Amino acid sequence: MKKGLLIILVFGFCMFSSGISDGAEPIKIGAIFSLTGPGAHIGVAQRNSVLIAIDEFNKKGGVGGRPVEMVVGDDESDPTKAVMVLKKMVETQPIVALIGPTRTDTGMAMIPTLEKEGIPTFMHAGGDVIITPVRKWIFKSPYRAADAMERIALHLKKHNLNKVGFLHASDGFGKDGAAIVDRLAAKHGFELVAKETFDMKDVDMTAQLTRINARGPQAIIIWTIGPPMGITTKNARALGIKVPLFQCHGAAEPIFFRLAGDAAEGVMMPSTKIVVADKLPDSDVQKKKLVDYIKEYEARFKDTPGTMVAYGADAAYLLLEAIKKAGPDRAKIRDGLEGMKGYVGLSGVYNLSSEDHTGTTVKDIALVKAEKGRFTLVE
Amino acid sequence: MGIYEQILQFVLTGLTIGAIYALVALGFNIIHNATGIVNFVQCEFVTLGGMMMYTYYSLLGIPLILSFFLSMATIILLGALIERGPIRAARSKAIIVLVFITIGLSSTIRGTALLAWGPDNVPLPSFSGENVIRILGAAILPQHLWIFGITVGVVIFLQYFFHRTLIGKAMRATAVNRKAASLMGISVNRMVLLSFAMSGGIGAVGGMIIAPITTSSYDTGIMLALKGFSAAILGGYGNNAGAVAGGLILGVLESLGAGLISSKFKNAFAFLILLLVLFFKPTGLLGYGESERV
Amino acid sequence: MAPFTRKKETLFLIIFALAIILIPLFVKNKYHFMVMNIVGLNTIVVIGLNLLIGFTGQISLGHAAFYGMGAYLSAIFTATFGFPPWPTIVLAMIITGMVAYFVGYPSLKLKGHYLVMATLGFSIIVHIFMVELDRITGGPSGFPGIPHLSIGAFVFDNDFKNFYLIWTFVFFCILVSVNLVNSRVGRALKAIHGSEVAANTLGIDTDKYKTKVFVLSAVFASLAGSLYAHYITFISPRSFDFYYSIQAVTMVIVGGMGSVWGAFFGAGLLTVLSEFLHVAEKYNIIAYGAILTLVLVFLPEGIVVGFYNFYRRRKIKSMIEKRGGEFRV
Repeated sequence: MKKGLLIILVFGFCMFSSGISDGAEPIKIGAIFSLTGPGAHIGVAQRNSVLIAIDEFNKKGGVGGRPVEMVVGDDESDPTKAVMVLKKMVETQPIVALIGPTRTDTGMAMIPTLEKEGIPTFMHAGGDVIITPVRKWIFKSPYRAADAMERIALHLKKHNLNKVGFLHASDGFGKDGAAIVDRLAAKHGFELVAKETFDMKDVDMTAQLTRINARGPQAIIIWTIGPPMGITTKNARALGIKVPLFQCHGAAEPIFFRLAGDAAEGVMMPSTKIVVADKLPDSDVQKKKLVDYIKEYEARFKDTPGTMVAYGADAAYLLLEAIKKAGPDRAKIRDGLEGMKGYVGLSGVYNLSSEDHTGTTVKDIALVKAEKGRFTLVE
Repeated sequence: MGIYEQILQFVLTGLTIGAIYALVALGFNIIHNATGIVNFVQCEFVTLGGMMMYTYYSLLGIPLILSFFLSMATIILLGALIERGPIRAARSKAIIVLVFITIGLSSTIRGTALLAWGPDNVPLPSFSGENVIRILGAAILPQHLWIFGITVGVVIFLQYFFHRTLIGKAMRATAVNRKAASLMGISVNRMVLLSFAMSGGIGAVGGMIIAPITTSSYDTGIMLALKGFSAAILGGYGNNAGAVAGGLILGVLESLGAGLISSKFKNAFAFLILLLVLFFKPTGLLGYGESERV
Repeated sequence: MAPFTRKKETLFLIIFALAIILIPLFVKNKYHFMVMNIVGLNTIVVIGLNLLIGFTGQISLGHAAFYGMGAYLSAIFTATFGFPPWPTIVLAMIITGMVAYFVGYPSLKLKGHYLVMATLGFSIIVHIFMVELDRITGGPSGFPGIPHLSIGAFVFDNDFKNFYLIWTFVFFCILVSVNLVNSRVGRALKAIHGSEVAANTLGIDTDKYKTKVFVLSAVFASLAGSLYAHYITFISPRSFDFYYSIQAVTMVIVGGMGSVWGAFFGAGLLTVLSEFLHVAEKYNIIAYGAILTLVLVFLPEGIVVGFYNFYRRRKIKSMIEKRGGEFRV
């Protein structure tokens, strides 16, 4: 009896282990994030978001039984290092696709190599320059900054707020926003009464806000990510500015409340629906996916996911979906991505094409408001 | 808001931020006077001040005042350890080598802080609420008053310490001439140790009082230290009154520059003024003749 | 100052040239080529900086700005205005050299660490201009689409070809520096390093020589920057910030001040170390800092000179002991 059990166990074990090694060699995809340096606070969350997507995919059977394995690299938020990490990966690992990087400048530095090697890449970087002009192998998952700003502009139009003050960071993301707001002001007919800037490392923006406030704006848009989101909000409230405040589409994060404290109350921002998933109507196609994902994320990382997590996860989901259909072939994966229509992701319903390498539109973007330490849906 | 109220607002905000620069500059000065080096760990003293306070107050639930002094004590201890360890063990006492030892230490400490607290910014509560105070139309927070008050307190303490106490006078003597001081029976090593401890304490105070406004993270100290360093140069490196003046002037100029001229080149203004001062009055605004032309 | 004799130096140069020619025969990995290329670029910057620090005792924290100026001038003139790349590199070197003169001259006249402060302020201003003049520089998102260098129809468009390009320049920079050290100028510099006042009374115009070395080091940095821009084909302000200046000076110190070969070892060691430490993942900043601290605490002359002295002491010791003497340090 005992012997029989042992034989079964051994037999079973052999079957099991052969099941792993036999024909189930993992398909490798590269993932480069800013895990240290100035982009670290986003990079780490993005890595977590991708981990969940990949585990979920493997649990469902991977690509015909072959699991997908993520090879992680850290670009230290430095463009030169980013290219080095990429080349190292290309040389030592048979990666079929790439996720990341986190920042716009590291992404731009990697593009020549990626295009040359022909690696389908889904970036997390916010800057629209990455996909304008459309590059053959490069996709990005966060909303176009222009779409996110348009979301705010539509709200302003609806509520007849015509005089707008704009405050932005002097990094790539902030400057991108500054160019977009000029275009949208012309398109939607609002007046830009003041446009001011600050450095990401600055500790006080009172002077800029005072200057903006003196021009009598009816709303103020602040375009930055990271700690300045909190400082600008606090400074504005301390100056007694009562007009509606808008932050960018990277602000809907749990950390916003920690950064801005009580001043966060009433600030509005474009966001993915992930921060308001429980308040969505059941008819919303994204709701089930969002609720499941949030449950998984909270269980695993003991943290509430914010909007950056949604962008990160979508890059992984879309890429995995393409790999599943096309198999481990770089060119086929790329073609598969361009043919992706109506894919329900966490940030929206993606329709990728040869002209559009982001796939979301202004319709996918929610406008949310910070209220009592939570986000609520405005429209 | 009329233009005069605006200017008042710029000046008031500039003064509070300038007060922080002044504190950091004082930290640089004290170590410079004792050793002749630029101490890059000053960045980390500022950072760790905020992060330790967060740890004691928010994570361990120790009352605010107690946390304040506990964090200060921790960083003072760290400063002393740095002197007692690598700085004293260094085989070469060449200034340039010591400076780069502090760069290495700074990197080690920053890496450890990233590991310990993660990359996210953490908040600290204001010391006494967030009700806006209005002064002639300009708005400031109670925390701004704390910043200003504590800085004034530190400056008065240092003034008293360096001019009225024996040990303070001994430190000044060491700064003027190490060999002579040593011959007079002053233990130079102990003075250097003390200077590191004091710099640590002052840096930590700077980090703690600004954190409620800006939040704190593993690398908040860098920009503040850079500005503090500039403030020290502006005032005349090594001169404490100069450090305070330099800090306040830098803070106010930045704020006025951003508010009245253009926020685009705000930081460029600050450093341009610094360069001009260096070229035309190289000893700094209040510096004494330590660096005559040879 | 340099621990090598002239004969040895010529030998080293020949070995070095042979190594540059032969190494690519054994390396097939693009990543390894790229690491070596970055080492090469850093070496060019560090050689110049090393001359400055080693001979004048003055530190510059502004070499990131000169490196960046080379890169941006090359990028803007070739990609935006269609200038031919090679003359542009020279143009960039001339412009950078002139700027360096205006920054260096007033501060080098002063005793004390005024150059540190002037160059620090200067490099921050340059960095702000790179970020804020976004119409010209591309701003913080960077400047893409810089052409590769070429000779006739031969384009330096991969890591392997760039290896030869960059290391040829490294070789010539080392050659120039070695000759400089052994020339009249070099002797004057050594005198300045020994005692500035004494050198001055002997009729050496110390300010002039110090400024010359500073300008030369800035020109080297500019050259490295131009090569970087044409190699990576993309530049952004992040690569030329304050940290790069610190990193470059650290390489000088670790390699050993005043030794041309030390510059090469310092650049190589720290570049490779920071790559290697990726294995340590999140501990990499800590490890980097700790290693740097330990080296400086225990080998303050730098690694090359430090080990050389150690080796020499041992040799002398064994010689003395062979003759029955006692060796004390």
